[in-house]
This record gives sequence, structure tokens and C-alpha cells, in this order.
Amino acid sequence: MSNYRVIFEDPEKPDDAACVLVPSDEWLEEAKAGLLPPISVYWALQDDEQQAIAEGRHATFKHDPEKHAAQWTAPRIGPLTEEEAIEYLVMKDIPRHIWSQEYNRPMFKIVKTEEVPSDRQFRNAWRIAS
Amino acid sequence: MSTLKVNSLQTTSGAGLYPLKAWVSFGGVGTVSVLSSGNVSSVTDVGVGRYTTNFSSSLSSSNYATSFDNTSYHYLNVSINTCLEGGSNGTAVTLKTTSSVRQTVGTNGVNYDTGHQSVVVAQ
Repeated sequence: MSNYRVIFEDPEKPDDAACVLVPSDEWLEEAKAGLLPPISVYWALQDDEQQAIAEGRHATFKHDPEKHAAQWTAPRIGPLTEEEAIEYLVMKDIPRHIWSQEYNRPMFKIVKTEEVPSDRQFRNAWRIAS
Repeated sequence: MSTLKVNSLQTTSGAGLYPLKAWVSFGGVGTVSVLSSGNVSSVTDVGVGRYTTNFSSSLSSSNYATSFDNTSYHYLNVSINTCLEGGSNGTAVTLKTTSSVRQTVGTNGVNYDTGHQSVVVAQ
């Protein structure tokens, strides 16, 4: 099991509780084994889908076959440490506006697993300090 | 280790076989823990009874089938349902994308964390 979790808040939803991203062991093993494609492969797919959503054609949306296949055909980036893998995962699985823009306080934080409060009520009141 | 690469699978009699695209089993109480998975990079605890499953590899289209399950449905002696989370009138599909899907566990507008969750995705 990963030693890390990612806490993040969505600045577009200020009333929502902080989210906790939990990596899967299966994916982490792939990352450590060097089986991941460049992150840009996922961004290209996300961009195409977001455009389809914005244009109201998501219900029938299909990825471009070549871009979709790049997930397996693009050159692998090589083995990552667990810390590097978590940073990669932030850029892959957390909405881009949360980690790519600067706000007046941090919107995400990588923390040790044991630092995440298990009590839901406490966690719902959580805010990431600057 | 060897890898089998094919475009389609069939039985010897010609019937089609359709492997799952993703699956995950996780605990949803306290801090989420991913118990086992296939083609799932992470699970995000979004709030009480709300979880997003992120796929390792994106699916080819947004039209795929999902099945959710929780084994703690007798919690508080109420029947708890798990459903695909969407927008108003159930028409928004932006929380069901080719890279992730979000589920909500609850009943009568009240969400609950439940002990064991699973998600199965087929396409």
C-alpha cells in the first residue's frame, strides 16, 4: 500500500469537503516498473473530451484511435520512485485547474497516509493551510 | 511473462468474449483503501458516500456500462443504493468520462460511507 495520499480542494466548489486521492497498488507497481507513457498522452485525451463536453457532444464522444492507442504505443518514461509516481498521479487524476494554477493558498498537498484523519466529521471541516 | 495481444476474443464456437475494462474493490469507511483493482490508478474520496474511480488507461469512448455494489446495504437498517453521480435531472454525464466515473452511495438524499464498495466497467 502506498505511503502517500493526496488531499485536494476544488476552488470552484469552496463549500465541498477536501478530497482524498488514494493510489491503487496495481498502478503504483506499473509506475515503479517503468510502464507509464508520458503524461502528455493523458492530457491530449482529456483535452479532446473536455472539448466534446463543452460542445455538447459528449454522449457520442469517441477518442481519436491514434491518440487513444498512444497510451500503449508511446515510449515509456522509465521507472519512477513512489514520490515521483504520486506527482505523476496528481497531474493525471486531479483536475488540471486545481494543480496548474496559482491560488492564494495551496489547493493540494501530498501527505503521508497516517496523516489523513480517519474521522469523517473532522475531515469534512478540513482546509489545506498555506 | 508473455502478453497476448488480440483485437477480439471468441469462444471455439464463435461467441464473442468481452473482457472487463476496469474494476476495483475498495473500503469506503474512514480513510478509503483500495483492496484490489484492474486498470484503476486511484480512487478519490470526494465526500460522504461519494467516490471517483480513476482509470489507469482511458476508455475509447464515453459509452460504457458501469455496475456498482456495496456490501453494507443494511447499514442503519435502511436500504442504501449506489448510483452513477450526474447533474440535474440525471442528464449530465460529465462525471462519467473516459478517464473516471463517480458514484454516490445513499438513500433519500442522504449519503453514507459504506464498508465495501466495488465498481465494474465494461465496454
